[in-house]
Amino acid sequence: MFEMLNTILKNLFSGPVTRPYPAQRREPFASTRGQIKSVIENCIFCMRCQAACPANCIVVDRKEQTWSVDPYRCIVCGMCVEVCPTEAIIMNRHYRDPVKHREPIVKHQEGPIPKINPKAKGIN
Amino acid sequence: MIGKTVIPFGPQHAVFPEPFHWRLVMEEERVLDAIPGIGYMHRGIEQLATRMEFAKTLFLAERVCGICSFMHALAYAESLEKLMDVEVPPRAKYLRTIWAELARLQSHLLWIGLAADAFGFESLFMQAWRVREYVMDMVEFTEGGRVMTSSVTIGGVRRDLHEEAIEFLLENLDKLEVGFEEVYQVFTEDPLIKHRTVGVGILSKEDSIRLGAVGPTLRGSGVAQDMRMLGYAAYGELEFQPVVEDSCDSYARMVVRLKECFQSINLIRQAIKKLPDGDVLVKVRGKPEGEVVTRIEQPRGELLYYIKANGTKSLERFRIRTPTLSNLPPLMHMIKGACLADVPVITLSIDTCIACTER
Repeated sequence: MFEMLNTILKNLFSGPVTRPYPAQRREPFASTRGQIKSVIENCIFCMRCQAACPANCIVVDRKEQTWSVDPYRCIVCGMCVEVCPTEAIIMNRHYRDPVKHREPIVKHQEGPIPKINPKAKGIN
Repeated sequence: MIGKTVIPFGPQHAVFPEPFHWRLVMEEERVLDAIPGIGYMHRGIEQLATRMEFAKTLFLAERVCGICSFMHALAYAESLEKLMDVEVPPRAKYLRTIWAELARLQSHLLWIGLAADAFGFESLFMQAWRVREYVMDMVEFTEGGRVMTSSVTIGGVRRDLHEEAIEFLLENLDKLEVGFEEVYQVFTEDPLIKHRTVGVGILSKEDSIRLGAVGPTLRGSGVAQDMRMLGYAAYGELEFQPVVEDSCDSYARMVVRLKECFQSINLIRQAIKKLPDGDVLVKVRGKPEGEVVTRIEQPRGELLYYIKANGTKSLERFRIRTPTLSNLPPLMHMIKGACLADVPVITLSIDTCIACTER
């Protein structure tokens, strides 16, 4: 009987555990893998991300200077971020927003391919 | 005299989280025979693995199951490390243990919630999942993903635990223990839950061994078998004993899982205390060749990985035997003679994971 009273009092004076969702959103942690973002200015088109991707969702075209990812095939494992020698792919902690049409994200680089020394960062 | 009736049970049923079909041969309210029907979630993962590069298959193995994804990745990595003679750094072994126990905690808490839901105990279901959220936070904070963690790799782990993460873990473990204690009390003291589970789905010790039960189903029948005692990852250096219950019914299996949650909390604390310094990843070169069998204790029981490689970039044969498959014959045995109303509780009591079973 008193146990029940305890529970009732506790629930009366403590707020709800859940969040009022659209008004208040849960912030992902700093280490969360939400989605990958391309920093195309840094890209040297070495194709390492394309080779490392287990879902085959990244397509790199050196001739056209384009880098594209199908975000609906991407499993956000972070392999491309790990192998990228020039930090041209970064992990964003926010999850992907919903969209109406399923299209790949294509990034095009203007001008000559930058000469960044890939040995600046450890390569797997 | 009423003749036999066949009642289809599932594949879509309110108590099953996944499609699982029973054909129950009934005589009045008693089940005479139960024929399981599986195959609704077959995805051909084993075949696909023989066409992928072996390093990428890790991510495929992780996707065999949504609840025990970490365990599959761990089993795959351990198998390939055995094949390629890789010695994993000690810190990586401890991190694997911590994450494996977190995976076990979240899986058991998920099951506890589902079981409460199956009894019709809606508020307990919500309390169990509220507590589970602490574990999910720990998983996300330390591994980067809530379900698909991708934190294990061949030769070690991909992430390290820094000071802040360890503090977060210890803080959340305390909160989890306090919250779980309340849920545990309800489960062990509530007369309604006892009424639904005590004496339901009896599996004797001899039957459990004869029919090849694994995991909490086997330990609930009084057999102290736990694959963690083999000492993979860092389990060999931690102190624990398998949780065993002797009453052989659904209640015993439930209590085994509840007590294993406390055991997991204890194991994580031990592992954090003993966590050695050093690297977490060694470079792996070459291609695997040979055959290997790995056994790992999943939340549901023994997980067996058989891998055959021939020195090429993809595996020759990839075979997984999951605990639910081993637990199906004991389940069929348990259901025979039960009431129709007890079938959902008995089926849940082995913690079925159909996605694992059908791959």
